[in-house]
Amino acid sequence: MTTLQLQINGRAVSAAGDATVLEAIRSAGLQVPTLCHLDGLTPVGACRLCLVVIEGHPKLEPACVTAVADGMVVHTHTPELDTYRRMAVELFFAEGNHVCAVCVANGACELQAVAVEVGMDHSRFPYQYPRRQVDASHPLFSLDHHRCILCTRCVRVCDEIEAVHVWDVGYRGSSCSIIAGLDQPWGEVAACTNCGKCVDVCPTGALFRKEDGSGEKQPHPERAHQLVEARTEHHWHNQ
Amino acid sequence: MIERLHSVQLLHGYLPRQELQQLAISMARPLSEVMGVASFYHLFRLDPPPPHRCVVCRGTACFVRGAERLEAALRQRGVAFETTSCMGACGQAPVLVVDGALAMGQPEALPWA
Ligand code: SF4
Ligand code: SF4
Ligand code: FES
Ligand code: FES
Repeated sequence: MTTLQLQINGRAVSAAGDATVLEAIRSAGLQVPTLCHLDGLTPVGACRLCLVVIEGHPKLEPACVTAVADGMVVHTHTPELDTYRRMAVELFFAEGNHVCAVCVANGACELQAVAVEVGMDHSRFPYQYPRRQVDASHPLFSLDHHRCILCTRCVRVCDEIEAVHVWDVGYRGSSCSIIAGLDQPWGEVAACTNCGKCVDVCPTGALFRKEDGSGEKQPHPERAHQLVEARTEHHWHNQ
Repeated sequence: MIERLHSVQLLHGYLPRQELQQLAISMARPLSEVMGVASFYHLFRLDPPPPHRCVVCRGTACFVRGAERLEAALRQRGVAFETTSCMGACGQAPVLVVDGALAMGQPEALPWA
């Protein structure tokens, strides 16, 4: 495997030829906020939080789906990027109904953590207060659409790792939502194996175990990567 | 898949869930993927079409000339309708199309009013 040289925030970094810019950033000990990206799942570039400046590129690039190139010069934090990232997080909050104080994921929510990371203290966009549904038809888990940020992690983990593809993205625009089966109640979809992987990787409190109350959700976003590692490298994490 | 969805819609006038399920089985695709595609395109109907089809124009000219009042009047009468952007008949605004024929927007003039 070839090794490429690039520069990130003025620092010389080497990366494997097939690495993404995000991987290069992380291996250099630096970081950019991410939400849709999850190690172990195919990156989709949906949330736009990992946007970076690459010199010579006419537009900002999402680091998670951009391949490294030799001699690339990357900036992860500029005033412009900081503004865009904060705006992106503000839009997430304005688009759904996120009431952290009563949320199952309070304290363990990646959206909340990213809001802190980008220094968001209020939203400059008016809250939409959309009328959405809660699907509590599954015997073990529930999906509160009010808290869904459409990152599609659940779609990908269920498709790529559990291989049953219960979820997909339905409709469009402001009606866009995660759907189970033929947009049925989750509990009616026979393909679901009740494995809980979608609940484990959901970055917000949208998917949760029924027994979890406010602040009691314990997500396990690392499971996706662990399972891929176990399958491809025969390396098991035994807790 | 889009072609198959088209043929189903041509046959039934919309996409019945039963047919979507059959299509998923015959193409060996997940149900949610088929539904994802079917629900994405405005061209596909997921519910049976009403006995009369009524489309109200929401284009700028029609909007200015009272499309909103027209919609409210239809809603009040319990008429199911869809909306579209400019139909190119701005001179007669506000306009609506009832069962394929262009009509000018006097709610009283509707056949079932
Ligand atoms: S519990 Fe498992 S099988 Fe069921 S929807 Fe979630 S990831 Fe898919
Ligand atoms: S339910 Fe959770 S994992 Fe799925 S798209 Fe919404 S926020 Fe992402
Ligand atoms: S993490 Fe790259 S776009 Fe979401
Ligand atoms: S705006 Fe209605 S026909 Fe042009």
